[in-house]
Amino acid sequence: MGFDFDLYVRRKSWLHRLDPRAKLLISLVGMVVLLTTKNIYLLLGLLLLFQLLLISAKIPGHKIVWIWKMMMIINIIIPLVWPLFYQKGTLLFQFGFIKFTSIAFLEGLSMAIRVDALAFACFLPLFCTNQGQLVRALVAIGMPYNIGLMIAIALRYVPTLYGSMATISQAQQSRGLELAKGSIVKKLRAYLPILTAMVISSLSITDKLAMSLECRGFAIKGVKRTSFQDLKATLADYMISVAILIIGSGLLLIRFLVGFGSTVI
Amino acid sequence: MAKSKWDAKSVAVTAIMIAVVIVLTLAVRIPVALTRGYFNLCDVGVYFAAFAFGPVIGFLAGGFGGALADIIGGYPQWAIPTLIIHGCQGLVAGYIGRGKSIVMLGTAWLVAAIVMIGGYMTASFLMYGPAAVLTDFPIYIAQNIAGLVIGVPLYLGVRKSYPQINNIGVSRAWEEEK
Repeated sequence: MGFDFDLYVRRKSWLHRLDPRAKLLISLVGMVVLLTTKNIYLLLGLLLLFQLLLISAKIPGHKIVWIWKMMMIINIIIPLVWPLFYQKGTLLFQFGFIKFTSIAFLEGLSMAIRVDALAFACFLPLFCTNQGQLVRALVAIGMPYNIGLMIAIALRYVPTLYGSMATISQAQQSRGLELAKGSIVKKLRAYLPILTAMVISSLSITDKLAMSLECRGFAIKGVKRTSFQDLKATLADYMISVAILIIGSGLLLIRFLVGFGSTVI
Repeated sequence: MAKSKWDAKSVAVTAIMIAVVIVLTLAVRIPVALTRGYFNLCDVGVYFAAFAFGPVIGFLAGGFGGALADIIGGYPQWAIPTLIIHGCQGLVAGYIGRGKSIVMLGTAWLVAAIVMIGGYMTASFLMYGPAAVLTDFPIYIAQNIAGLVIGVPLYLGVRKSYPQINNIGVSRAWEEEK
């Protein structure tokens, strides 16, 4: 237990005040640029930029370290395994039939940096936007209202169901259910009694939930839906969004017209 | 579009199924795969939602459940591929297997598992290159086997002990629409 279901860190910073749609735009433009370039300096620069943005948003250091810890294994694996698939370039040394070339190491390194930067690009809006705002932003940029509502309800019920699953699991274990014994299939089958009880208990929630939705007038025809809080973009939000779009499209232009970023160095 | 056909009951069921998929993904984590980190019971939830409530709820529960679990669990870069892949997995499983007997459930599982494994292979290749495909391949097979070993009996068991489950879902409303 004790699992945190929300990445949001409550702080007062310019990134927290920024319109959530603009934050999603930063993330999206960042991902497009990252996935189209291979240039190691540009990738490093973007990675550094995302770190600086997180620091400027006053995200505590242990959160950033947590991401790095998760990315660690892949960071080691990719540069090591990359030469297996990439045999061109000047030879550094040979191990059996596998040639390790300097260009392959650089390719692997650039891939590893890209993977890290992609992760940070995605974490950025999640750290500085609360879940409600995020769903509101997704609805505002065209996600169907019903789906937004489902996501919001689902996020609200995750801790509840997690708690009920822990309770059921403890109850079954106290009756002699062994979760960590036997082969992998046996271990998996042991979850069956827990999951059956949990699914049925969660299905019984849906009745009450449907009733409370109807009580609040969900799916009434001929009524215009209003919301409690509306998103309002300020001039600064617009300016930041336009700046991101200009930088992003500029980078894409030089990528595809000049060819900057098609090679590692 | 069938938007107006979404009544409160189907929204409630879909939302709860999304939550169930998230919880199954996050509650049981065995860290194995190298790029995506952990072995989980996500697929069990997807197959259950699809078999019990059909392709539409299967798609939404699988796609959004998986994507939100990736976001909360610390792999947000996977959210969009997961949305599409687990969504299609639920869609296919629900389309073939909804409310059917065990043989059809098995067929639905097989087709959906191929969709899911193929989808993730493609996504790993595009995002992380060929190295990631090799390291992650076994985990996707294992997750789907968990989906078969737990998901199918879970659905059959729940259907037996909670028969009201057959009256829930949006599929009827969708078929009526012309």
